[in-house]
Amino acid sequence: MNEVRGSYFDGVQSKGASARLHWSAVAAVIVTDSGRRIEIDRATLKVPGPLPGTPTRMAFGARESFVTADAAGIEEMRLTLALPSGVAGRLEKQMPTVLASAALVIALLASFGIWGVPALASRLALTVSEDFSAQMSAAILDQLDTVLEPSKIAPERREELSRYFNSYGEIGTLEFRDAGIFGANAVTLGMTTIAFSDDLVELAESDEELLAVYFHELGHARLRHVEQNVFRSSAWLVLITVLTGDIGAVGELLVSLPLSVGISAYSRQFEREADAYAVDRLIEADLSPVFLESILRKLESHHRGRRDAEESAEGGNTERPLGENTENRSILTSLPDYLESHPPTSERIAYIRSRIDRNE
Amino acid sequence: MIDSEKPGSSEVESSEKQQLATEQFQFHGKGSDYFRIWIVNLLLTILTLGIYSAWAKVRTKRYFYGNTELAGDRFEYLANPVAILKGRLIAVAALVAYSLSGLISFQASLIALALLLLLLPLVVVQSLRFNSSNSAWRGVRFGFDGSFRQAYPPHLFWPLFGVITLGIGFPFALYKANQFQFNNHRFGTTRSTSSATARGFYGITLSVFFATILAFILTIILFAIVGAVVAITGAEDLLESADLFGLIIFFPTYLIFYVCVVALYQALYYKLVFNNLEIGDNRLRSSITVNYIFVILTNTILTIVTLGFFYPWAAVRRVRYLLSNVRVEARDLDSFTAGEFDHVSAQGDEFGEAFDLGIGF
Repeated sequence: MNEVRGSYFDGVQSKGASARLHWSAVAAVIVTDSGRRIEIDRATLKVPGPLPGTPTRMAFGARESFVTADAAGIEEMRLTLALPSGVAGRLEKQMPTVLASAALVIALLASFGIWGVPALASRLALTVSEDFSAQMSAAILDQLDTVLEPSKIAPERREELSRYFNSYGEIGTLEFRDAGIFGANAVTLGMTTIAFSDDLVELAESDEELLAVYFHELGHARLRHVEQNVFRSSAWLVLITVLTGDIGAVGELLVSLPLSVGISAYSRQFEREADAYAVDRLIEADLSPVFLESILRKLESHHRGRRDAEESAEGGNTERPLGENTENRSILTSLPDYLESHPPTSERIAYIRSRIDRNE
Repeated sequence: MIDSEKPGSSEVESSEKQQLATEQFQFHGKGSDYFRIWIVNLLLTILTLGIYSAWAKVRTKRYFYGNTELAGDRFEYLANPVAILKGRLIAVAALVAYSLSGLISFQASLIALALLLLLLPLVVVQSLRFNSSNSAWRGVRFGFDGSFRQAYPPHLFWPLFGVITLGIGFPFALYKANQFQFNNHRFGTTRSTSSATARGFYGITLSVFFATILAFILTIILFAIVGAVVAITGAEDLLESADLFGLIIFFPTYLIFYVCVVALYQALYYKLVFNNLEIGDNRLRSSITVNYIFVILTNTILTIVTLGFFYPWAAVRRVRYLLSNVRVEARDLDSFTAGEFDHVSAQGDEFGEAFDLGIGF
C-alpha cells in the first residue's frame, strides 16, 4: 500500500490529528499517530484537481477530511487511481503551457479589442429600431437640456435651415440650442436626431458650410455611430466585469486606463467615416468639399480663441477637464492625439484636400 | 502567561485552557505559483465567454485560503462554482436591466436604482452567508447568522442618514455595518464579537479626511513648483498644449495620492476591525502600519508598468503583508465544534453568491 502523511479532521471539532493515509487501487484507510483507524468509503472520497503550491484537501464521509502537503504522493495517487486533474490543473503544471496561455490571452484580448468589439457593435446596431433610438436620443437631449438653453435664433431661420438640410437627406429630429460655454458645435444623438448650437449657425459664413457640417452629422446618424458606441461600451463593460472578476481592484484601474485611450481611437475612426460621408454627399450635391474644410478651420480658430480667452481670464495654465462627455467634446482640444476623440484638424483637412484633388 | 511575539510560534497549551498563546497568521503563497493559476484562469474565462469565471474564482480563493496558515493548519475554501455561476448570471441580468432602464427614461432608471438599493442588503447578507459557510479551518466551517431584516438598518437606513447629514453620519453607518457583520459571524457554533466603537470609525474617517486635504495641499505646492520652474527656464512652449502637463505631472500625482489615501483607509479599517474582533475567548490583534501604503503604492505602479503582468505578485504581496501582521491571542483553538453543517451548506449553494462584495477573510 502507498502512503501519504497529513492531518485528519473529523469535521466536528477544530482539532486535527497527524495521520497517514494508506491507499491502494481498491481501498483507502487513515491511521492517526495515536493509532486510530478510519476506513474511507471510496464512493464518498473527493480528491480535487491539483493547485500549484497548495496542500490538497480530500473530503470523504459526511464531513471528514484529510489534508496533505505531499504533492508527489498525491500526484502518484491521482495517476494510479486515474483521478482527473482537470484542464486548468494540466495547463498550470508546466511552464510551456503557462507561457502559451499568456501569449494566447494577450492575442485574444488584442483581437477582441481591435476587431471583435467593433464587428459585434456594428452588427447589433443594425438591429436597433428607429423608435427605440429616437427614445434614447430624446432621453440624452433631456439630460443635455439641463445645461443648454433654448435656441435664440429666429424660428423662421431655423425653419429655413431645416428645410434646406432635409432636402439633401432627411432626419427625424433637427434641434437648435444655445450651448453657452460649449460654443460652436453640432452633435448626433442617434440615427434620428441631430442638434446644432446657435454659435455654429452664427459662425458659418454660408449655408453650404452648415450643410457640410449637417452631412458630417448625417454620416454619424446613417452609419449608426451612436448606437454602435452604446454596444461598444456595453461589450467593454461585460469584458471588464468578466476579467476583473479575477483581476481585482488594482487591475480595474489598469484596464480602464488603456480602455479610455482605445475608446477615443474608436471615436476618431467614426469621425473619419463621417468626414468621408460628408465629402461624398457634398460632391453628390455638386458642392465643393471646400465648404467642409472652411468650416473646420473656422471651428478650430473659434475654439482656440475661446480657450485663450478662458486661460487669460483664469490666469494662465488651467487644467483641462479630461473626462468630458463625447457628445460635449469640442472639435478641437489640446489633448495629445491618441487621447483625442476627433482626429487633428490638420489631418482632416489633408483628407478633404486629397478628395478635392482626386475629384478634379 | 505565555505572550510570545515570535512569528510562527505555535505554543498552544491545550492542557491548560486559560493559558494565552500567540498564533501568528502565515501566508505561504508565491507570485510565481499564483501567476500560473491567474493566467490559465484568464485564458479559460475568455475562451468560455465568461462562464469559467466562477471556476476561476474558486481556484483563486482555494489558492489564497489553502496557503493561509494558523496554528499549523491551513484554511479551506469549499464553494461550488455552479452556485457562483448562478449568482453571477443573476447579477449580470440585474445590471443589464438597470442599464436598459436608462434607455427607456430617466424616471425608469431612478425606479431601477431604488429597486437595486432595496435589494442591496439582501445581497450583502447572501454574500456573507455564502462566503462564510464555504470557508473552513481544521475541517470546521464558518457561518453567518445575520438576518435579512437586520441587514436593512446598517445598509439602507444609516447610509441614507449619512447622506442627509451631508456625510457626518457616514462613519456611524460604517460602525453599524461593522457591528452587523462581525457580531453575526461564527466559527462552527461560536459567535464572533466586535468591540469596535463608533468613535473608532470617526477616527478613521477624520484621518482619511485630513490625509486628503494634505494630499491636496501637496498637489498645489507641487504644481506651484513646476509652474515656477517652467517660468524661470522659459519652457512655456513645452507645456503650452497642456498635454505633457497632464500626462507627466497631473495623472501620476493624482494616481499616487489617490492610491495612498485609499490604502490609508484600508490599513486603518483593517487595524480597527482586527484589533476588536474576538471569537470565543480568542482575540485578534493587528500590527498593520503605514508600511501597508508603501506595499499598495509599489504594487500599483509595478502592475501598471508591466501592463498587468505583475498583478499575481502584487496580490500575493498584499495578502502576505496583511496576514503577517495579524495574530490571534488564543486561549483555545481546539474546542470549536461544527453546527448544522448540511443545513448551512445547502443554503449557501441555493442562493448563490449574487455579487462579490469582497467581505470576509
